[in-house]
Amino acid sequence: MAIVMRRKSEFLRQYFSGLALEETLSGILFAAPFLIGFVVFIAYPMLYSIALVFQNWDLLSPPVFVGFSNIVKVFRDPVANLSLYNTAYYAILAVPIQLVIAFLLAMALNQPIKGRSFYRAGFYMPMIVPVVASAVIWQRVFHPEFGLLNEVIGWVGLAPRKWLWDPGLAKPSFIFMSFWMIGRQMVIFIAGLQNIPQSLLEAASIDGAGRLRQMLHIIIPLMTPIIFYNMVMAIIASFQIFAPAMLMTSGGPQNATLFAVLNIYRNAFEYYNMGYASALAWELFLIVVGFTITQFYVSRRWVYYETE
Amino acid sequence: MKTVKLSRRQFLLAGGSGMAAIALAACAQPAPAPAPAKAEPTKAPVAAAPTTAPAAAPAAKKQPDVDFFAWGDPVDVPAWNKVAELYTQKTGNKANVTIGATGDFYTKLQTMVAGGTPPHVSSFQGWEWQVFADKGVLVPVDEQVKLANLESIFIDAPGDIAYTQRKGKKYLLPIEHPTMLMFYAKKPFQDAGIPFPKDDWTFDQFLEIAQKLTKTVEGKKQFGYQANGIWARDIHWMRNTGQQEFDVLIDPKKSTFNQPEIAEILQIVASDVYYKMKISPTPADLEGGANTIDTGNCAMKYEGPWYFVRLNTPPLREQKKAVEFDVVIMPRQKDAARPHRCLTSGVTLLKTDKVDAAWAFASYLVSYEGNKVYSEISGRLPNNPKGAEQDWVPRIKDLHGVSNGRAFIDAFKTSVVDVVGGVPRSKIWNEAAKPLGWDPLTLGTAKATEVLPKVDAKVQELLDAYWATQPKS
Repeated sequence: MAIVMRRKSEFLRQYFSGLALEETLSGILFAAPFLIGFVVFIAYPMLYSIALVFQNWDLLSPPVFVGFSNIVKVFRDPVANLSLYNTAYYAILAVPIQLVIAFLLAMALNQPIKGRSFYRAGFYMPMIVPVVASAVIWQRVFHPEFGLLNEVIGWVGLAPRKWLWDPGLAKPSFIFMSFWMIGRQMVIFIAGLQNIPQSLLEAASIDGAGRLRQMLHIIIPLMTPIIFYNMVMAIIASFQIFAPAMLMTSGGPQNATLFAVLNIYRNAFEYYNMGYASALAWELFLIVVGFTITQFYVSRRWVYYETE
Repeated sequence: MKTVKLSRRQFLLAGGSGMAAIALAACAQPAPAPAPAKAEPTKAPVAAAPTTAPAAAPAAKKQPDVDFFAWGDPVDVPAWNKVAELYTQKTGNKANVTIGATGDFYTKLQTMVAGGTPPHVSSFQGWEWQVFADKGVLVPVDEQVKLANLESIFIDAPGDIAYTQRKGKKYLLPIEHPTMLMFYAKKPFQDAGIPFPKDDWTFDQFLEIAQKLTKTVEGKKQFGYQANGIWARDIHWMRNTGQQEFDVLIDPKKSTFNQPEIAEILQIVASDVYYKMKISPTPADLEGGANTIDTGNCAMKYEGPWYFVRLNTPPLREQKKAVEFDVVIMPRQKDAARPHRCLTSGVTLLKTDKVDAAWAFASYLVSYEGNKVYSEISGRLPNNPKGAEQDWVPRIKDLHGVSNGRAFIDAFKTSVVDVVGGVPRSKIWNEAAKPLGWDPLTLGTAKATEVLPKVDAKVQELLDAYWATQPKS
């Protein structure tokens, strides 16, 4: 026992003296702005929101402890369930199509075509357009009378649609709109494609593999870590969709675009029910975390890491 | 002189330490949180002018600076700043104006209160402050109003009483007393040879005129009426059937949307006007600002005085973009009293340690002098009937070409409140009225008789949930 104590104190003395101590302090100080910001603006609010799950708080009067009633309400509230359904619908349909389009675009813009940089910049441009401006543009695109989309479908003889004002078309319209924001995925795919060794493609070509075979047996397998990364990030982002629904449809028509984060926002900042909003936020957080863990688990079966 | 050289590491260390110190300082406790003020009213330091007086200066007693959280409608912003500037000139005291965007005004206010840094004076719409008063955040001002001889800014009309008082105490100092009337663009009437509507017109005449004015002129759609398609704006039509959507309009306990009279009128104004009569552009057609009275494509619209500046002002006339218009009392329905919605807004004092200073500024803001300046700049209806008749009615005739401005004042005499209670109006709209009622109606996918039972049931559920959390009286 005494030996263990002595060794422990020696270790601590060495660790907290001289150069080691100075380096530890330097490290903490360098990281301090981030650490403070993280603790104050992320960790503390998150922990505080756990406490709020068990309380009712309207911001005007002191919180009141209500036990598990907010959690029970989360599962019984049809509006909350509908918002989760809308979010899942959006994420499940939007993400795969986004990935396919971004991948194909990246493939195209990885070829030595004229004006390649211009096209790359052009497809990335929507990422730096403010969400409000995007919303205004897309409202015009979807306008039932003067909208660009109805104009285009009119060229092939289709009747104009009400898009955002039709409960059956509102969510598909949002999914369509999400393709505008694939610039980041495209850039990451391009970076991945540029890392594929040319020697592998040449060897395959010598062995008689055509473009399709190269794609299926070399490019896609080597790109799986990038596809996986983009997929995880896109699913998380899709679960967090908020601003377009808030700005363009206010969750309508008939709650067709009431997504989970919009429902949380309304409960928190329109109905001032911070406790219930916290419960909804934690529900969404756990769903996203669960989904992400599942993806990591499943990824072992299809993602190929060269280092493995 | 000895020079000290910093290594790169030391430089970065010093920088990191500085950043950390700044971050910590930023997170420090804010300036002393205002202590809850005494519940009893404070002595009024300012004797604001009687409303008939041409001008009045607040007593020049030195007061600490106050923070005024002001409603950020673009027409109001220059008015708030000007009145605050005049207040400083008159008294030497200062009011710091913080503009709150209208979209999330109450969110910010509520967050300020929760953070322990409430403003000393805040703007409020007449139907939003009651929850704050119930939670003890606002200061009643009955005694100050009496001492300052400001009682004439409160109008003895049902709507105004409901929007300025709670449980017998005055909280809201009104800054405007608007109502909403039917606006009509003159040109479509003149082109069709139809006489302008008069204040004694009926609902059937309104529909008949709207149908006559709906046509296509040189390939351009011309609608007789621009419907609003939302509950708040359809309240007028419902109330004028003689029925209402709740058992009582202050703290309701029972939802009564589902009534034959309400179903009948809603079917017309929230659905048939779009799809059966086709006298109004649909909500989708309205998106993006097309097909509106502003663009000259609609002949009539239910609006308030804040809409003048969008239709006809001297600069618009110079640019030849003005829409010549006038206003008329809403058409007569079944209720002979012809109630019009009241939309009083104003300012309240929050419980802080500067209630006296807050009152000094607020009382100047609502005094004849302060309100006159505010009204002149913002174009809003003054808070006192005489100011409205003597100053505002002639002014809107000059500025906006409104001949029937008196109709706003007449309509206010029978004004009614929308609804005030513990369930936020936004919640009733978002969770019940819109998805279950107005969305299917305005999309033309359901009848009023089908949707109103669902709206009723959901609103009742919200009311019951609220009352279940309230102590039994």
